[in-house]
Amino acid sequence: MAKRHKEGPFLPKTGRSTGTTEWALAELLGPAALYAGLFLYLLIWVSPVLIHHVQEPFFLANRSFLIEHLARPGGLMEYLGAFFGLFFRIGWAGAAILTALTAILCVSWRYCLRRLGMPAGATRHLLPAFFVAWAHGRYETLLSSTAAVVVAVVLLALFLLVPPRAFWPKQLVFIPLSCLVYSVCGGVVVLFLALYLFHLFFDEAFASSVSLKAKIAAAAIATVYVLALPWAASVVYYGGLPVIAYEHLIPQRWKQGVSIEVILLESAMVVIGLLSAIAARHCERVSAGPLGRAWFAFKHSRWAGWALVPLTGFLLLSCTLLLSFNRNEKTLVTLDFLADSGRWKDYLFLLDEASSHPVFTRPPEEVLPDLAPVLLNTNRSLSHEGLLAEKIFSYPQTLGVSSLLPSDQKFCLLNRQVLLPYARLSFELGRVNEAEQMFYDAWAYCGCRASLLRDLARLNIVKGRFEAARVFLNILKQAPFERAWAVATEEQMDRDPSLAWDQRLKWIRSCNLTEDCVGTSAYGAQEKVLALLLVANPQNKMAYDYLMGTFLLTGQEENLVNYMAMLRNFGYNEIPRHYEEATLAYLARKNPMSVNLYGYKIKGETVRRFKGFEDLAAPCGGDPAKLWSALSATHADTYWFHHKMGMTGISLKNGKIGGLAGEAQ
Amino acid sequence: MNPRAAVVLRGVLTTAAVLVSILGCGHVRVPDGLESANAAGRLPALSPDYAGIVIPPNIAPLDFRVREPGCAYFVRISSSPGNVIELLAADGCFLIPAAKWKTLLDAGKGSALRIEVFVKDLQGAWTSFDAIENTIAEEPIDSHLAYRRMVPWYHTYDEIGIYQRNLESFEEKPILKNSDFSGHAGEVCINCHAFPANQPDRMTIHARFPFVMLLARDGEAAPLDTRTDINKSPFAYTAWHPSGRWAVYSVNKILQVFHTIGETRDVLDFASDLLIYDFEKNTVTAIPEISRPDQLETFPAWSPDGRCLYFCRTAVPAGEPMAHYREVKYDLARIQFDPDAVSWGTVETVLSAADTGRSAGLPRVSPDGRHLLFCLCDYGTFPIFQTNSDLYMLDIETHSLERLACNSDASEAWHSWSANGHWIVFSSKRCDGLFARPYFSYIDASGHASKAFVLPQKDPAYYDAFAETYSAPELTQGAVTVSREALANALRHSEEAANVMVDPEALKSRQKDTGGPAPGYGNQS
Repeated sequence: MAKRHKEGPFLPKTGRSTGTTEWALAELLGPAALYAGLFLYLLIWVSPVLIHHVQEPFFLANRSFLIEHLARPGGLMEYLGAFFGLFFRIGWAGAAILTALTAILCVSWRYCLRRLGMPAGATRHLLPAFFVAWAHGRYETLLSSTAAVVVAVVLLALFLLVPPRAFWPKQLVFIPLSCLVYSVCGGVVVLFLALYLFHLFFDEAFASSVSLKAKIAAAAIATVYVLALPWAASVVYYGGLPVIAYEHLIPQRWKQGVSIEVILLESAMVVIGLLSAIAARHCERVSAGPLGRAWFAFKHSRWAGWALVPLTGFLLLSCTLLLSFNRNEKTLVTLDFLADSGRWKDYLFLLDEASSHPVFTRPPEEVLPDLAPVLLNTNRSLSHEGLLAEKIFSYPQTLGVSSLLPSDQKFCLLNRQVLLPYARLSFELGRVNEAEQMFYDAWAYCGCRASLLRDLARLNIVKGRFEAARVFLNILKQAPFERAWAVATEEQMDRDPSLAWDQRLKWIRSCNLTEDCVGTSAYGAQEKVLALLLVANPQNKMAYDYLMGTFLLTGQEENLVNYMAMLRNFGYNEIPRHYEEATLAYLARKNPMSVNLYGYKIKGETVRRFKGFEDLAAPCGGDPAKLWSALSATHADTYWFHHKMGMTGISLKNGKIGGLAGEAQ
Repeated sequence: MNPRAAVVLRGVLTTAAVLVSILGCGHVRVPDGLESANAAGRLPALSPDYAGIVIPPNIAPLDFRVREPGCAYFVRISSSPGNVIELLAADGCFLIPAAKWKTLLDAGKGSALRIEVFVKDLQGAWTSFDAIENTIAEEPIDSHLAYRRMVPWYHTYDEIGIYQRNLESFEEKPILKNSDFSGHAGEVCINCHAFPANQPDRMTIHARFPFVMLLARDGEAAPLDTRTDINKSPFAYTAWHPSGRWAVYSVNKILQVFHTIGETRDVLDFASDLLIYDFEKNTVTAIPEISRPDQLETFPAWSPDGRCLYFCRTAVPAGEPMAHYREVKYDLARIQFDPDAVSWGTVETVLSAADTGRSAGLPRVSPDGRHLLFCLCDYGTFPIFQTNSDLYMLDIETHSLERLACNSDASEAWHSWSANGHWIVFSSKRCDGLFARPYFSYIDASGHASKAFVLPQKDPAYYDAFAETYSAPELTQGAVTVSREALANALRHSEEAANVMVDPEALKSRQKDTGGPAPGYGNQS
């Protein structure tokens, strides 16, 4: 009895000595090591900053935001998830939040499992930690979904722990409690119900003295009640549409997809709970056989039981976790993050390191949604680094002009990841109206986010709609981490609404178009708009880079040569490499005397390379395979190659030639 | 004592006094020193601007914020002797108690509503501002306002909702949200809600993707596919006949286009006609006089007696429409209708674009049939996207035209009348040039408008941080009777939508096709 009391009044006998130092150490150090490992995994492998970048939770510290969330089932968890999600911008804080949640989950889950018969030294209650780590390593799992599971399990543990003890009063408590779980956690109430039912049937302390009929009756009542909750909620919140309320029971990931990760976490907990309950009841029968005896003897031996078996298990799980981590996804997210942060050099560096990424090695049509933003940001990075004219063909331009500026509205709407970077690119170019359109399109796609509101505030300042800018600033003033910027900007606007001192805004304002170019889509008429940008501001180097890039990618050599008149505006003493290549190709077809190079000369080295290219290409005729074979080793990153083959022959890794050429062969 | 500390202490004490006043018995003690307050000699700055306006006797409290620097604020609102509300605030935000406000308005119908504002500075001295003199009208406004509310979406959209607001309180409820279709917003666009003669028991709502019209009557809703052999485009702008038996619809081939400077968005109409739909027979008929192949006809509006249909029209522009869109200006026109014989007269021009030099849009006839309220803008048919769009009133009897005093430098459009003809509501972008908000104005017997005021909200700073736009505000004489559930069910069962049939006679007289239902075409509001 004394031992039973030591383990808690309702915990089952463990059949194992628990008073030893090793046991205490194992109980303490095992989970501690696991949580430390989890923290490091999240911090280093996953990087919570990237989770924040993908989801960028939007939180407002005001009453109406809270009320709006409280009004719907699961809203409180979404509210808290959005708040704590803000801290993921600080890597260690994000990792700590997830680790703390996991620890709470495991401790609560341990109590629940022990009530179902799990022995004291067992470690299966720690298994959800791996699911949490795996789920958040996929970047789109919402913190609120995981937190909802944690809260549901904590509430279940409390429900089991605290009085009343009598069966029917306990059932009565379940009624408001499950309602609370549904209100706070939403769809996790289904997991709550499942675990409750396990306890109803398998937890000796919970319902041992009650007949099976009574248990079945209680289970039926609880099930019907919980499953009726969404129906009741639909009357209040879902416009009287129960179908929608039931659909919302399914855990969601970022941007309204079904969260397989959270479903697996919940399923795993159900399976573990069930197996624990069954194992506890059939333990004696299993251990009666020779194999069972051997296993139990081994498991309860000093080191095997407390260290070897759990350690091996956790090592295996850790390896599975690390191997299942999607590094390709992380690369894409990191690239997007670097572009978003304006870290162009880092972007290009990482891009060069990521040459074997499927986005570059698989057919473009299969990876288009991922490929489109990568190519867009690649050219954006090159332009910011002043390398577009020199290196555009050193990177795959698989999507043609859409690699530079997506010219097709449908393309953008089908590949919506491109919308936000494209909006920012348009703003940088001075295409303010197009940027406005795309910011709203991006908003519809990725939801309201503080960075986007900031963009819109700045855009409206450029457009002279100062009061509209203040609307966005006023929203940001209520958002933690954004308030300081919003207040400072508003104070500056009080002194000068146009923020004339802001060099970036001043520059964009100076690039603003002066001629209206009406069209059915902001995504079309690229060359015309770029040309108009140069008319509005002949110093707009980015617009010039992009216009010339468009000419390069579409083989408009004559237009390119004509626009070389503006080279001096941007301080070029000699013709940039790719312009020179295109000019040379043009001169080869025209009378060189009739072409004005505006005082520039073609370098001898370029002429020699062009001759080499032609010599190699001539014997191949029009055969693409032969051309690949002959040219990809020496001319893969040239305008001539792209012009002839319709694509670059570049593999990114260390600037080596190969990749695509090899595939073509 | 350190002067800075003294100021802080004074502020704390004032705040405490205000809190005690508010949390105490509800009675505000008039602060000392008001009698000797310095006169500012000007009106105080209020947000929203509720100075010099005419207000309905049944409007919700006009909560406001005093935008004057100070550490304590006192206001005295009075309508008649003995009817006074006195409020004290530390931050200048005044939330007027609803019951006292109602009593004040009830007692003061037809008289002045006086707002006196006193501001205490950091030195403890009070300043009094010139009293704001508003007028409480005798005539109430319709109790509810229906509108569409959303972020100003472009190609893609997330949440869009049609809401109704009780104007006598701050209660807002969704009539239908696009998320009701599938549980997720962004899949359906809902727009163009319309009621017959401000009656909330019948309404239509259009949806895109799926293209369907929701017809709500007597608490039930049904989906209708309005595309027929004579109109490949679905119904768009609606004018319910006062009898409720018919509605005239425009069918338009419109396209959202974009400018590279100025206002980003625009909507151009490439083809449009007017059709009459018979709710009893479920048939649509093209009327040759108002669906001419050489004309674009749109924006139908019935006179209250149902014997005259007003609309806008222009000649089909020659050449490439995109190249000449700024030259497209619409006339105001009308045609007589005999509801007994269901026969039409001939079209007459009411106001020619050649005379005004501008394009007319969105005509709405006053309930007494005397005035015609409409927009004039530089070109085309989408005034809300044009900064220069203003509201005009035409006296139908005298033909005198007046630019209403409730206009601003920003865009005004989407107007509608109250049932008693003394109030109009319209969308205006005057706050910030981007987000349209609903504004109200009182119309006197001569058709003159008072200064407009924005839809009051409980939080006076509501609009300062609200990035959504209100469009198509429509006044109704009560809450919409059809449930959101019924409308949502109708929307979700759009594949079961009944087809509108073509009146056999219409097929014979049909002279042209208005164009195909290309994706993206539909009614933009």
